[in-house]
Amino acid sequence: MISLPSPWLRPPAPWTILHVDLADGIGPLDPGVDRPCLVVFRYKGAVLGYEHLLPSELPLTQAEHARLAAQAVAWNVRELVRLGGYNDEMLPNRIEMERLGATEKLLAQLDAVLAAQRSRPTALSASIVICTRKRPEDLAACLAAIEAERQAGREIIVVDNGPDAETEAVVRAVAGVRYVVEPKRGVNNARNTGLRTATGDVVVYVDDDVRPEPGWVDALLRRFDKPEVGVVCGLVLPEALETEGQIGFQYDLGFGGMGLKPIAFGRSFFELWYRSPPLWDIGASANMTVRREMALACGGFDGRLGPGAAGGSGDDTEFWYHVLLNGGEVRYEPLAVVRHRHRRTMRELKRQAYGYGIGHMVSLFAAWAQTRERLHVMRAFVLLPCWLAKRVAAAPMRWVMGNPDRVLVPFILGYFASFRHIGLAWARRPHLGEAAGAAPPATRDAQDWRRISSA
Amino acid sequence: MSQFLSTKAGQIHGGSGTICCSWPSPIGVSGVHMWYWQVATPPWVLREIEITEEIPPIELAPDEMGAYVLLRWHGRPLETLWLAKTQYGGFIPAANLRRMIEQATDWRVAVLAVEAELLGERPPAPLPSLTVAVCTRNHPEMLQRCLAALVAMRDAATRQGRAGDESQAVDLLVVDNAPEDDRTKAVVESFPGVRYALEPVPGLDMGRNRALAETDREWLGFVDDDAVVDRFWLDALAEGMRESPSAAAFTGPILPLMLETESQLRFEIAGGFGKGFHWRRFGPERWGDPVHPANAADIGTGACMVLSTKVLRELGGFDEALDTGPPLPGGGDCDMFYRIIRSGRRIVYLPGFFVRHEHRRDLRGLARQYYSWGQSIMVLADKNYRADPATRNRHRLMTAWWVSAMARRILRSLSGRDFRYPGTVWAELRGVAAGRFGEYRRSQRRMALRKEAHLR
Repeated sequence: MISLPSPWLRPPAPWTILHVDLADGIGPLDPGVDRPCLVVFRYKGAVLGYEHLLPSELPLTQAEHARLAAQAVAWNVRELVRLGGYNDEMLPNRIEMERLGATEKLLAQLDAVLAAQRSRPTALSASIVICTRKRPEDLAACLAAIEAERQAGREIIVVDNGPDAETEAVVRAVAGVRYVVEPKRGVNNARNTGLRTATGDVVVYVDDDVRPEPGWVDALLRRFDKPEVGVVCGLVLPEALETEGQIGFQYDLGFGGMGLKPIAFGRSFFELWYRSPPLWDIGASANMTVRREMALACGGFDGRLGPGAAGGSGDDTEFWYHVLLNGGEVRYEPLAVVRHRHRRTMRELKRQAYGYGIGHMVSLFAAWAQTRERLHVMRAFVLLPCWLAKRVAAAPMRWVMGNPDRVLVPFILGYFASFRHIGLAWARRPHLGEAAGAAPPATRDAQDWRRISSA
Repeated sequence: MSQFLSTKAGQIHGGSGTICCSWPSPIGVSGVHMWYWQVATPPWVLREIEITEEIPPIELAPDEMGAYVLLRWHGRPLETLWLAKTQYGGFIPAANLRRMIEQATDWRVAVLAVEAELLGERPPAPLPSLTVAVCTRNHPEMLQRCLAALVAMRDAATRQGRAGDESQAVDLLVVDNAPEDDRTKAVVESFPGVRYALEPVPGLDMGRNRALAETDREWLGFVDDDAVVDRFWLDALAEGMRESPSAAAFTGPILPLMLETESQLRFEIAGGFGKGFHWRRFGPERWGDPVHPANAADIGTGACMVLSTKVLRELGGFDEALDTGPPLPGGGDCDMFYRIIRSGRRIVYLPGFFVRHEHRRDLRGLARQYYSWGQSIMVLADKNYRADPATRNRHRLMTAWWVSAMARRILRSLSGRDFRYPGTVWAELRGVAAGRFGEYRRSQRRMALRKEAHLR
């Protein structure tokens, strides 16, 4: 999540997003636009930090640009250099303070770390699955963005969740892309269909509204270096911040992953939290990759959740939780970058907030159904209302300060709307293999840390 | 002065990391706050450690109660450490100290290292065409100390051949403000090549305007007579000027020169003049700062500033109704920063461009200092509320914020959780009240009379 220096005084839309790669050397910063800028500092593609600049602060001289860039990236450069090749499990909040070796030539050290990371071989094959519903233009742009992968011979499957001829025409126009129909509504049903259809070891899920950057699949595949790694999520950047809706999507809803450090979530993720774990911190389903065998073995995605079914979000967090419960590991890889086309209008932003309100609760219901842990009840009926109450209390002041909390009301409405789905808390999780006659695994007991891979 | 305001600089560390930052400066490292009265027991010693060289252990004499350590990286200031004897004992071995320094400065070093790597080797920046003015009044001993450092700085630059010929060396000027005797003049005459100017009308801004009239250089710097410039002062300034050619002014941090009395120690622990060691650039607007530039005190301090002579002349010099001495002892610097920003120009805060300042030695003087701060920020609001209607909202917000922060502070102070005594907080609140309600116009009338008296 890209955090603002302060929630106050956000300049009006439109903004410009500038990507500055420090490996190309640094020059004066003069974007030539009279707009607020979000500058994304990168090094050979790896995102290292952000800076927000007003038009009156531009242009910057070379030295000023270097100073701002250094202030923005130093923390993450240091962290990445410290982590080195990052093979082991890492927690979101690392408290140890190891010494940083040589402080000179930090970027050169980072270069070596990235090169080592990118040269690691991976033997896995990947299938790219695009789940779509009635957005043919988006789908066409998305297919164009992954053209290089198609030419490299990667299997690409489009799952059409609301079959229509236009979408089909878009897919048929591109050679070598498989078109599959899933008439049952719900993004998780489409994902399950993709899971069954795909033949690769790993299934790379892509939403139709994201534009992946080249090489994101390889970055994701490299993190499947242990058999228990079940899911790898990547970084989601905004494609554009042209409207208030898009800016709100980015900054008010906090969309887009877990920062700029690689993280591995395993059993310790549960043990670290005395509350129910903050699953939404893991990543975003817009950039998610799963190990196909493991996903099939633990029952696939829960078709009752997510857009098109229960509504809202929660489809992804429920799956991650399920994987973690079954002894899998979930990882976050910031080197795999996709750009997301945020919804443009305020109306869509509010609908999204409403969906988050539902999704948050629904995934807690589903989690409670699996584990019967009171932590989830606690979060659903104590912590979440308290958090909402706090936001309600702060709302008048934010309104006075000219930064009204636009997503609060829809979030509260979504919270209450989720009670429609409270039946999920007592229902059994559907299992993908049931139709084929496989027995559903016993996932009721949270202490059952069965290793899927060793089964 | 306004450390409680949320600003960009306090939060620039990128990504998801949150770390202990020196501003506002708590005591201790790694977020260990100490609120023990023993900590505020003088005297403390001042040390300086260059972390790229071997780190010496710290040993305190029996009567020294702590060490205030300035850490540098290749001469550039990184961070300050407060090592209280009550927390660490009288002897800190080098290994322990090194670990503490690593924890406190690790990412700050990374910032400077990445910046150096991005920019590569650069030749030393050319010296600016600069006059440094010291405005003084009846403080010959302090002036002696201040001038010694300035002259040493000038001569070092000349010796290194950076100043070209003699006429391009840094021009030093002392403005003697309504002196009662000729001791100041005698001190100035003891230093070769330091000019002397007399300003008969009392008032710091009268003195500053006299300096402006006396200089023909491109830049005019001001150093207070109770301050001493750091040995890298000129280098940091030259470097900053090369980096930001469009800036109209440069300001820098103010560090303590000594921590010998309780007043000095409490002032510095409670924040002092500290604005941290982050490079910052102030333009007409700041992202996320709803009161900028009404909180002009955040930009810098008059004890260490360099301004463009051309801009000063365009803006009509300093406001002579401010900085008149009691009952309105401050505000001229903030007012000038405010006007520079409002004229669409930029001010840069350079971390390496700092002076060491002798803080008020007694608590009564400290209370006066806080009074003048509260007063000057409110006088600025009062003056510009009328003169600059476009920023009225900001001044209103600033006033509300300041008063509420002061109210919180006095509660904290009364419950013993603040290093400032309630009396000094109260003094600042009194200053706020005095400044808000008409002090500026009273001061204008007083100055008119004063000038008239001198003309006669």
